[in-house]
Amino acid sequence: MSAADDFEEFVVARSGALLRTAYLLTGNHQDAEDLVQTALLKAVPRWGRVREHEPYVRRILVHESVSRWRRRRWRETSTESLPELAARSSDVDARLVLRQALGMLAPRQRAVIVLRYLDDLTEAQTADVLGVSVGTVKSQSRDALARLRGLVPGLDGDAGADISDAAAPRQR
Amino acid sequence: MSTLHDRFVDLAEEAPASPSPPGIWDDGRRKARRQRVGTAAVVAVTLVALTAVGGVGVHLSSTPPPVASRSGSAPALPSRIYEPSGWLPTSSGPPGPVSVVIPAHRSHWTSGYTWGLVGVSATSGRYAFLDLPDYGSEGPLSSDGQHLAYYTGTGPRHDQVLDGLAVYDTVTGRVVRWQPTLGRPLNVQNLAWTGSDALTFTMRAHGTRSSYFWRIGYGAPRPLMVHIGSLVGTAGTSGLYSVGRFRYRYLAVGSSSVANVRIEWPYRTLATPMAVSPSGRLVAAAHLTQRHSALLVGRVAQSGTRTKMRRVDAALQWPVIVGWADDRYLIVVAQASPQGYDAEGNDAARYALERVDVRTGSVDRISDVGSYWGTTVDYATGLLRTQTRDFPAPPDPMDPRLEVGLLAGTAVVGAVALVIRRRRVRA
Repeated sequence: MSAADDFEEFVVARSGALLRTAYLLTGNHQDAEDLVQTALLKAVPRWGRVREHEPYVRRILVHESVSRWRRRRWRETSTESLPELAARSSDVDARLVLRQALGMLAPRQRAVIVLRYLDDLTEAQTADVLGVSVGTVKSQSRDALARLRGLVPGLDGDAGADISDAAAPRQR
Repeated sequence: MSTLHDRFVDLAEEAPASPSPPGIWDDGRRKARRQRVGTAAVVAVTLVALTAVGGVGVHLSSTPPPVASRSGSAPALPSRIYEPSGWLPTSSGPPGPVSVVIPAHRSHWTSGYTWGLVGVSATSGRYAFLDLPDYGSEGPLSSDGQHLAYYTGTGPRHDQVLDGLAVYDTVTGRVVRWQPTLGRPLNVQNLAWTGSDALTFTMRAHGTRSSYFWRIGYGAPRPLMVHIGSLVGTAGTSGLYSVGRFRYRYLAVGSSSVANVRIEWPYRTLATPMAVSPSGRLVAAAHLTQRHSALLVGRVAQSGTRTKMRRVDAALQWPVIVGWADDRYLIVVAQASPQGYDAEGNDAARYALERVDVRTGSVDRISDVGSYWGTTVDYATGLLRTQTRDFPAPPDPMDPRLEVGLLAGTAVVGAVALVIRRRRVRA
């Protein structure tokens, strides 16, 4: 199988998962699609030399996301509290609140949380993707969870216990 | 109660499901190619710039090859004297006889500059700072260009104390020093060569000023029995010294013979230096005021004999006497451009070495000595009677601090350009 065929196969098989990760990282459909395309484009030159394709593409995805946030942050303002929600269905509200809460995390914290709790990466795998130490992953994860608890109703109490370290994703 | 994982999975259901557009592989390959070409271009431009900067530095600091001369290695004055760069190298060994010595700033990486003496080889025209141990201040160059007298000094640059005399042999590299134990700074005046291997000078010590004669290589200076004033010039081994108004004294230091002479000048003030012709029969001086300048020549007369000094009708501006080529031709440095060196906003004041026929007043230019600094040059006066020669211009090294800064700056600009370029390349 040629490298091109291998790449096309990977795109077909994993672009959905990558888009989900990208959506949580960006909170925006268009940005998520753009982020995945950029990551795939950047992965092409070294595709034949990389053994583990998915971690490699995910690493590009996360770094590109952080870089974009740095470039855009001067245009964005963050608030300490989430806006009041209009009356909608509770599921939609919960998603909106969670998405906005994620958007209020620092980009590295957001990446740690998404990699750990959506993609089920271990702390070591998360550290490898982000290029930081495991200790940094732990501290970023702890701070991000604490902030999410304050921003997202229902993550306190029982829900909070669900996202405690004891309920951390299964180690792969 | 759902876990955060479940909530994230639920939120991720909103993620777009659109398949990635086709052709990403080809687009990625094209982009990688463009990126490689762009990177190579930036690297190439940076390397070219670095090479250019380095090449300019090397070119400016390179020493031109010696000029093959019809007259072989016969010593001669250069037909043009260049202002020396402060970054010229120091002569690695004795340069041989020098035709010209130029006081110049010697630049340093960290401490600004110090004064030094640049010698111009009489045979190759090569410029180099002379290696003068404990150099304090310049002294005269002997007429044959082989011996250079200078004052030695001690202490920091801005608070240096002159403590002795030294003579540098430009042929052997040997330095002969004399450091008297005075308990106070050296106070030597009228330091002058008599012949090419002996110095005369006056020195104030213990409240009195005494005259000394120092034959190089024959021990310490010895007191002279007669007092010498300021030197007018030398003729052979005799020196003509001013000892009072109109009163002069010929002193043949080798034989200690003294002849008192009288020279009556039409002006009360005369510029120095003056000069005695090689035969000792003619003396020349310049009279300079703010409004005009005059060149005067007269025959040296015995004491009691009145001699009328003659004004040479030569078209010269601000002549400074260098010496006589023979009993007919006088060599002067004169202003070659219309404005004086002190004219406001005038950067073009040029000076030239001129040969003046004292009988007719005709003037021939024999050497360009640059701007006003050229009037501070000391010449091997024994070469005044020879033809000047064209020598290559000395190297003009780029300030190494600037060169290093440019190289570093170019490298940084190249690196930044690479980083910016890599960041700007987007899908």
